[in-house]
Amino acid sequence: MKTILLAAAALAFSAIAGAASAADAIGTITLNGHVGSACTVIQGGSGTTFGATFDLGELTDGSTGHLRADIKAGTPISGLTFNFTLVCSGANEGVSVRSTALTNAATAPGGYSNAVDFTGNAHFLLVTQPSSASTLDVANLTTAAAATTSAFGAAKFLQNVNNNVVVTAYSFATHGGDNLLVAGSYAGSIVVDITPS
Amino acid sequence: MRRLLIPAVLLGLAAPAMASATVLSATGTVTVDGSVAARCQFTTGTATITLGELAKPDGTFDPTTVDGQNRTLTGWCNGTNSSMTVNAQSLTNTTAAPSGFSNQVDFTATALAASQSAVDTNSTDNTAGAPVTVGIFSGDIKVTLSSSSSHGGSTLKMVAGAYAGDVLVTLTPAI
Repeated sequence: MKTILLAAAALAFSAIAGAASAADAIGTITLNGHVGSACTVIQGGSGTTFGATFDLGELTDGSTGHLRADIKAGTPISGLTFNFTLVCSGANEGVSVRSTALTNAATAPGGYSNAVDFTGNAHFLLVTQPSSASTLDVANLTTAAAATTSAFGAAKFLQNVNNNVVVTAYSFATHGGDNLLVAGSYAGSIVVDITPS
Repeated sequence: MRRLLIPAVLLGLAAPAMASATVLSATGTVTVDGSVAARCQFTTGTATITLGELAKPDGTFDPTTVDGQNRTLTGWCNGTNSSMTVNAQSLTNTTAAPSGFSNQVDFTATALAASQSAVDTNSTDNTAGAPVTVGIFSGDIKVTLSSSSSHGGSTLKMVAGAYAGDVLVTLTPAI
């Protein structure tokens, strides 16, 4: 009885083997996925938008009518350093920085100016495999004809740390020379674009 | 036949997944604001006119000693609605004037800046004339004296002594 059962089992396997060899079709299941090339704001904004506003207050020295001295320095005064945290999934992201002068809508006659130039800078903390840190600074003067463009560099990622994008403004100067400044409100901006490669 | 269909179905699923890959740029905007207060300031704010002898040989006041005299101040205003006034203050002598005499010279003062003239025709009231809008300017403020007369009448004789008067120019800042 035991012998008979073994024979029956062997026959069954034989039948399965015979069926496999007779079929040529093979099903292949391919699993695909992707990580979108994107930059997301973690701190200092939301989604894909970040930003800040700073009021310099009185731009003149209060006595001569000329631009005050402290903001003329080549380093930012307190309050003109803005920290942001972003996550970018790709390496070698493109960067564009455009600074726009502070301007006043009132017209300026001879001897006066209604604009204040400055330099806007975006500072990026980068990393390459395995953990080699580097930085990238992209500066744009308001007197430049266009935005300053750059890129992180091949295989360089934005570091996965807080405050990995720092925007500063410094070297303020009266447009057109050291003229008197027209009274009123002034506004300018720095626009930083980070474009995944 | 059924097994052959499986890869085709999976391929169909894979295609939309690839199409959904997105490139999201991030944009940051830092706005820097500031302001400039309205201000006026004299860079040359004082001047002196020495008129010399004020009387004619007959003792009455000589208007030619005052009329046309001028001095130029300099200054600036940075506000679009800045204004200017002038306040003429008569020349006076501290010695009392008896009947038939005068110890005061009245006059008109005009200040010209940014092509706008502020005038004060009454030097006896210690009040400025009407303001004029000078707006944003930087430069000369020319002050001119005119229409002078001895207080009380042109036939009065002038009391001897020193006479002193003023012309006050006021620049008022405004946006």
